[in-house]
Amino acid sequence: MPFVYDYGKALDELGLVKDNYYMVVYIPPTNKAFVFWVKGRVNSGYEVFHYGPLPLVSGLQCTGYTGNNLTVPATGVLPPANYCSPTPPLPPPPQLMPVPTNTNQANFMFYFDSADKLFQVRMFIKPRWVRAELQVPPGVEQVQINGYYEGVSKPGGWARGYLDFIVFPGLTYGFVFGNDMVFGVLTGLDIIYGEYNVSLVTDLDVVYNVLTHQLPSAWFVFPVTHVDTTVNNEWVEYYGFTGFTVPQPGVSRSQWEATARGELPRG
Amino acid sequence: MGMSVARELKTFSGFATAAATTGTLYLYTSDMYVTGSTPYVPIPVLVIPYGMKAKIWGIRIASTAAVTVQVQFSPNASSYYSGGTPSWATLDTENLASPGELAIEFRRPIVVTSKYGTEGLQFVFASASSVQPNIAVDIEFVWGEVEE
Repeated sequence: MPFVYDYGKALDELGLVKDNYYMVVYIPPTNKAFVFWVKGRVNSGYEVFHYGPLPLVSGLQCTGYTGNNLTVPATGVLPPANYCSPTPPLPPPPQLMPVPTNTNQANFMFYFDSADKLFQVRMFIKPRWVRAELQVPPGVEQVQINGYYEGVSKPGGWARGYLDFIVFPGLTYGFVFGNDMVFGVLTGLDIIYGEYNVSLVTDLDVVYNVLTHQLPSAWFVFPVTHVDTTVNNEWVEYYGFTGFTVPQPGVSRSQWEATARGELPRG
Repeated sequence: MGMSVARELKTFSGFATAAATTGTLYLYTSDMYVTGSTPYVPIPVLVIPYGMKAKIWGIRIASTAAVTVQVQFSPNASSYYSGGTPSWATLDTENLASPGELAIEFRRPIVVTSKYGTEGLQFVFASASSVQPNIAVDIEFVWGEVEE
């Protein structure tokens, strides 16, 4: 899994964090991380669900890889040699979660607004050749190769048929899906997810030991190359700060603690 | 749980649109969205997506008379969809010697790699008599399988 490192058997056979383990979400552009304590998984025993077709609605305008721009001909169909961004990005299947319309949750089924919860989502897109790109927040491209933005419209910067990410409170994510096959495809989406009850860890002793891998943890790389203002604001809103700087070699623990104390919210 | 490699094994049905002594087999598979109107129709030329491999694991041929089926490759197969005429080279030939069915599983697959996103395959048939054969071909698309 590209975004997950298991430091000490913290992941189960589904790739989800076990109960009562630490979970780190690392933010590469800032070299900061949040440390959470996973108190429990709300959906133990039913982590796998079949979403159905990708949320591509009939008539959605797509962009052609070779200029032939097509529209989505029927729900869940990716036109040949085209890429599209579903709007809303990931509504819940109505029969699964009848959430009120025009809410954030109606647009993105994993939206929530609580500091003591996190989602880990693993998306498996069928057919597997479908190019997939995650945008945090929607419309904001995140994948760069050596300073240049990439994405499903380009030769690099996407995965085929798979996405893996952590959902933070207050945020909606966007997706772009591309089909570079010469025929239109009926898509499907299966999701393995963990809905975790978590506590944000601010005890510097624990944080230091987790971030230096002396305590076992699941280490998730948040798939962004820059932190959008929206994302930054939500972190401040829910956690009061934007994460702890990860200790680097050569910096003493006391030096790191001085830095970390400055990062914690006051009061 | 390694997800950097993506695999999709599809069975394509290949059919002749009319009885003839030679022709191209049109391909259809279960994930294909077909309405009967272009571009949502079965395809005569299968272009392999950019950077992927197509592995042909098996072919089944059914015909009411003896028939030869060939797997053909073109480096510029995608030009078919812009009005061009790809140049084809035969990779594999299978002969059904008499009316009936021939099922072949390859010990090692026929592997075709897309380097530019333009490479592709077609399946053609030839017979001494006018026939309308059907084939089924198992093709695995693989992405991220990098040889070191």
